[in-house]
Amino acid sequence: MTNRDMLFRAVGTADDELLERSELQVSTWSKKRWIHSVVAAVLMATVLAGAWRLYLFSALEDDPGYTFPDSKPMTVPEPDEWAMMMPAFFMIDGRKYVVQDAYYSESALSEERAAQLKVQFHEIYPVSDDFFGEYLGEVTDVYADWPKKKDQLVGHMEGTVSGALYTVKGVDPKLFVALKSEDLDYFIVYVSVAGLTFRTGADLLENYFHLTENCRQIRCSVFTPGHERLYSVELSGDRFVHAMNFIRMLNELKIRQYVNGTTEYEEMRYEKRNRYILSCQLKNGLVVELVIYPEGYVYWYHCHGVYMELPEEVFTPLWSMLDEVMAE
Amino acid sequence: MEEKYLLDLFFQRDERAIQTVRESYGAYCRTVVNGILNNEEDIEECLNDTWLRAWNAIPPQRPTNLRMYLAKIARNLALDRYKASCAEKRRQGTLEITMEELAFCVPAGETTESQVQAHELERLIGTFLRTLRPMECNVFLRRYFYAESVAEIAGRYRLSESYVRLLLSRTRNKLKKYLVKEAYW
Repeated sequence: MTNRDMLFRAVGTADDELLERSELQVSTWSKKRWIHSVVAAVLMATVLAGAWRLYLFSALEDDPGYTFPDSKPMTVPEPDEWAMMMPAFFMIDGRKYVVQDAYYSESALSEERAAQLKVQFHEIYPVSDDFFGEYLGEVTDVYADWPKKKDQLVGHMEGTVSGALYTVKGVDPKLFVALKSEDLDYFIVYVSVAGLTFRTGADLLENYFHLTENCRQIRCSVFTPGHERLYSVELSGDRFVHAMNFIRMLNELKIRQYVNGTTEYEEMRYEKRNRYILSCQLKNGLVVELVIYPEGYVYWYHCHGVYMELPEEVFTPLWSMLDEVMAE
Repeated sequence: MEEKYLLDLFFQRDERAIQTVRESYGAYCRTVVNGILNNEEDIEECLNDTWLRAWNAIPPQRPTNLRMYLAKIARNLALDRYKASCAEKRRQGTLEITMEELAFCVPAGETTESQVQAHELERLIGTFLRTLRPMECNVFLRRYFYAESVAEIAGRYRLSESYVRLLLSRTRNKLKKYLVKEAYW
């Protein structure tokens, strides 16, 4: 018997359990579910204006068909030492905030300005000048002189940034606040999630962002082990639908529990491989970024410890799609 | 429950056992054999040999998963029959393509006769499969156990054919490295 034949025969002794697992087929939609989806799409059409929306959302699944075990709620801990060393970390009235994202007015959208602000041009989310004004709520404080606030401000922001601290309209200031630059052409949103409790993805993505309803654009970028973002591609057509289905499915995923006092995310922090980021821009301008690890994990960027494990049958097609997108 | 009943028939040497396994598992074993043999006559004979082999092996053996036990017997018998009857034509056979892919993982042209080595290889394969991600393992087994086409696998898991090829290629590379690391070759 040649080595080749012997190897082929050896595969024939694979575990019964693995063979049986391989027989499972990815479920397809039943006729009944198709009908439900079409009805849902028609109802949605009466609410949503625009033919393109009708096309896109009619393909969204109501029920992805996956079931997940009950899990215990997880309360997000205080930012760890690593987070507190981040640039743009600060405290207000005892609450610790970390940077969520920067938003730039259209007038600030130029490569020169991006270089000046030390941000990558493709990471910029433009917000119309009008919208810029509508987005922010009331001024809660003004930081014109950071050194005097040493007891409240930590990190290298101290003494380097000043401006008015705004609430974000419609969002509890305990969760989000925004710092508007003196130049008035950008603002930075900060988030404070310590103490919030989540059980499933919906507790975060829907309760706080209404992501499936409010997402108007999704962009994909590659995140390197050196924390550098490469490229940024907008997902359109079927790919947008695929990503929205994925986000919908996330709502049902349980938030992973801590293991041995730490998170699996922390163990993966120094991951050597690239990851993908799905940047979901909401109607109100906020961007929710979901980082997807090659091991099949997803977490909301800037909310360390809140992450979800994807079922293989969901992760593999998604990763494949993103591979294709970024290879183009 | 049905498996237990069937095994009891085997142990009681009740000849209804053969008829019953044919009815219960005939279709499944046929799909396994179908990937290897193309000739209906060969397939039918192979299945009959499978029931006979099982009849002779049970007892003393008492498989924990009768369906998979029969599938493995059928697969091995189909391979024997394939090699015996199609030797001169095998260059054109689809199974030959499948086996050629897997040949990438082993040194070419060498022949190993040792039974000990064969058992060691089986053990290594079993361990290797456990190291794979579920979808990698599934795709690998559909291709190299069931000899399914790339298109069939892609349809089964709703993946693109190019992605299935990519997964298979990655997994073969892993297997090759694994066997070298374990100093098998």
